[in-house]
Amino acid sequence: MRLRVLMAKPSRWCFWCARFREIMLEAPWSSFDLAMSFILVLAGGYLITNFEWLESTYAIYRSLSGWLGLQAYGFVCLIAGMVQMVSVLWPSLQSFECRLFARMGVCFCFVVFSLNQLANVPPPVGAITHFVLSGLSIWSVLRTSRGGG
Amino acid sequence: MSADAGEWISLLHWAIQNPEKGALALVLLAGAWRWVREIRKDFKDDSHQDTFTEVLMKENKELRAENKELVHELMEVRNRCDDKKT
Repeated sequence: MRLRVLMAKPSRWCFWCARFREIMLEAPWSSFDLAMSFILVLAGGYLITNFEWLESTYAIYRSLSGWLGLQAYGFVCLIAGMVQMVSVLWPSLQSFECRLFARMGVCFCFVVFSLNQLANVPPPVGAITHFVLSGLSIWSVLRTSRGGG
Repeated sequence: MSADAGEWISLLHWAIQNPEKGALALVLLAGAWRWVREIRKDFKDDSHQDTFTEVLMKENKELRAENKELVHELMEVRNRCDDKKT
């Protein structure tokens, strides 16, 4: 309702709100999905190859290895990133269920990293990046539609 | 109010202390919500299509009845013309 009132008024706010709405709801998010998949594949590979060193060196990764183990998280990230990459780079539009599942995998990995980094006192600088990316990945799950959004 | 805030803070604390469980719960909730919304949308579209088919069938019935009346009138006019000729 408030957005409608702002949109009705011919002001600079109106343009910004309309532009933000267009980006969040209507603009294709393929580049975001591709970037997320690249990040997850690289992060997963890094965790798998260096998990012993990372676990012993950085305190921020200790709580991450509580449930499954850091190496298992590496595999989860790698698989989620590869599934998303295939889904984005596939020549035809994938089914709604496939795209939703791929985005849910990416979202899970980013929310885990984000919460894991926020658990540290004080949180590292990377927590901000992960927090924003996890928020956007949740939104990408919520905006998935049959039409290809 | 403060009790609610305390519950929310404890939930947030639990989610931060258990990142994998919190993330899994959040993702499953978001995915299920999206899925249910799409299913509801499909159901609404289907019901709308049924109504549209019903409208078309009704219109077809009316047009058939009108066509029948017109044919009947035409037959009467032809009969009258034939009577006049004879």
